[in-house]
Amino acid sequence: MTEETLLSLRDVVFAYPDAPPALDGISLDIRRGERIAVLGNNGAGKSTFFLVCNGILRPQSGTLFSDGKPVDDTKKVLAALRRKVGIVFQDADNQIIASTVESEISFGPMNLRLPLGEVEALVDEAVERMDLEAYRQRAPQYLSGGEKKRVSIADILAMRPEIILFDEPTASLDPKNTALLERTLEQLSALGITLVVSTHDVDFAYRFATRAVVFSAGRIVADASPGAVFADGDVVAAAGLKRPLLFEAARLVRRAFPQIPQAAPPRTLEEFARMLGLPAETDP
Amino acid sequence: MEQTGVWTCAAARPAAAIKQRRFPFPRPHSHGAGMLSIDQYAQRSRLRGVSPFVKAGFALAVLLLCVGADLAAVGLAVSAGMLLAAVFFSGAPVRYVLSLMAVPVLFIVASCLAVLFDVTAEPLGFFDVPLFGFCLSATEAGLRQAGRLFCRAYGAVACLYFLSLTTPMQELLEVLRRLRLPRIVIELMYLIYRYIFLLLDAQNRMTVAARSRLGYAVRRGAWYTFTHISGSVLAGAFRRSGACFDAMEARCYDGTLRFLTRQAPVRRRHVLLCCAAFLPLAALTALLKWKGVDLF
Repeated sequence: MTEETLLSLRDVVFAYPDAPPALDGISLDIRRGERIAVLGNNGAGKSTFFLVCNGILRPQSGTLFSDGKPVDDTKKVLAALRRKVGIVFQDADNQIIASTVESEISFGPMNLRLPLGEVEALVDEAVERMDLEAYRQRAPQYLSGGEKKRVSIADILAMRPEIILFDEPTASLDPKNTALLERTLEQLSALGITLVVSTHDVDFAYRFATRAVVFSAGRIVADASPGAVFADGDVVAAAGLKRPLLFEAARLVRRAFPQIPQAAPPRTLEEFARMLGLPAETDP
Repeated sequence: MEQTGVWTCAAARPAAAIKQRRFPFPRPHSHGAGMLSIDQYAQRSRLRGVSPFVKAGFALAVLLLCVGADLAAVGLAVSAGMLLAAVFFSGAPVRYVLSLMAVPVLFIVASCLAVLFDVTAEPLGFFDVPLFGFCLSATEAGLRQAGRLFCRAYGAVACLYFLSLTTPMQELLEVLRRLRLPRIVIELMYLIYRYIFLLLDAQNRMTVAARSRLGYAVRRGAWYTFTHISGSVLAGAFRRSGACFDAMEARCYDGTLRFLTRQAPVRRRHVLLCCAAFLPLAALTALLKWKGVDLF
């Protein structure tokens, strides 16, 4: 089964002035409905990769294709690309510019020059989806970190993107908000939105993603299912990754009890319990 | 298990259901004790549901009356009335509003002194300061004039405090925008207002970090720390501006800030209430002018 390719990069190279290339020959296809985890150390090129996907940075060589057509510098093509591919930035404070939540969410649709009625409908929908109804007239400077993150996601949802790139979305969230974010990501994925999430949280990546792309020094060193990526010792060492705890635990259990039938490695605690032949744990 | 947290991405309600919602303004609420800033009181004022045009129009009308009347009694009445209104509608404690009123005292007193004293050839007033063959005399007329000026100035200040304690910046910007202030000015004001809080926050965090390392323990060290923090805030602002611009471009920013703004509508009730507050003041002014009397 071949899913429709939404975005593809071919041999993309990008270097900031006076620095080694941040992206050094990246080729990648993003297909509809995927849940991609982008892994790699700081400085491996993840954020630069996102900015290229959205047309903020232009590849110095190589090409970005959107729906099979090369992306050029014309305003129309760029606007279409930016509507299709949204970025939720790591620091919500860098993204939020308006002085009320409602105005903030309207910024994207307003820039698309849609009729006001349509802008209102898009804002209403995004507000509804991120449950921000009570915050509409609030000023962003008095929101909590989790609330700001919700606003920054609503910002992007209001543009009805096909792909959303999340740049380290859990970086400044507490555990409760991280859990809620993960649920939101599940729901976005269920809506058919393609998700690309850069993260240092390998446990989350392992649980959530259908595909893991590993960056190291501006190159893609692995692009496969999370199970396969974490099983590959060379990749894990080269990219300085840690293996997910559950993955390691399952490996140890298999070594201790070879009689356990071989199956796909467990991705959640429930799957782990099933592998051990236990009933699923229920929270107290 | 369904969590009770607020994050979600549930399917949107049908549009019809959304249209019927009431105009949602945050209820006034407080986060424990402690002073809030003017901005915070404005954001949660009880007048958030009143059109900013009504609030600004009312404050401006009263201000013009107070300044134009040039009567001490009107000035005092406006000061008292506007301060009471500011306290009542913003929910700020009286003590806080009074401390705000203390801020301009020095300026007002300085200008009143300038009016009080006249330069004369010989002592004429009830209080004279000889000065190089001339005389600085405080006359009774000068005293009356200074008193009137003081009351007028305070009335005007009270009007502005009323406005700033009940009307948040985004509402004022909307008023200025509709009044056709140049777009560049409005956009700058938007961005400056937004980034004040980010820069203040950065400055705060650095100050706390410096304090924890005794950066302010001695006076010379304090200057050193202060200048370095200021420099870092500036450098940080430059770095941040790049990231912010990227984020704006990612949402198709093309050189013009465009936002959807929803303002509380102008309601007849509010306009009538404003008139009801304004008319007695106007009547008082007219009466005093007609009789030619004032407090002093």
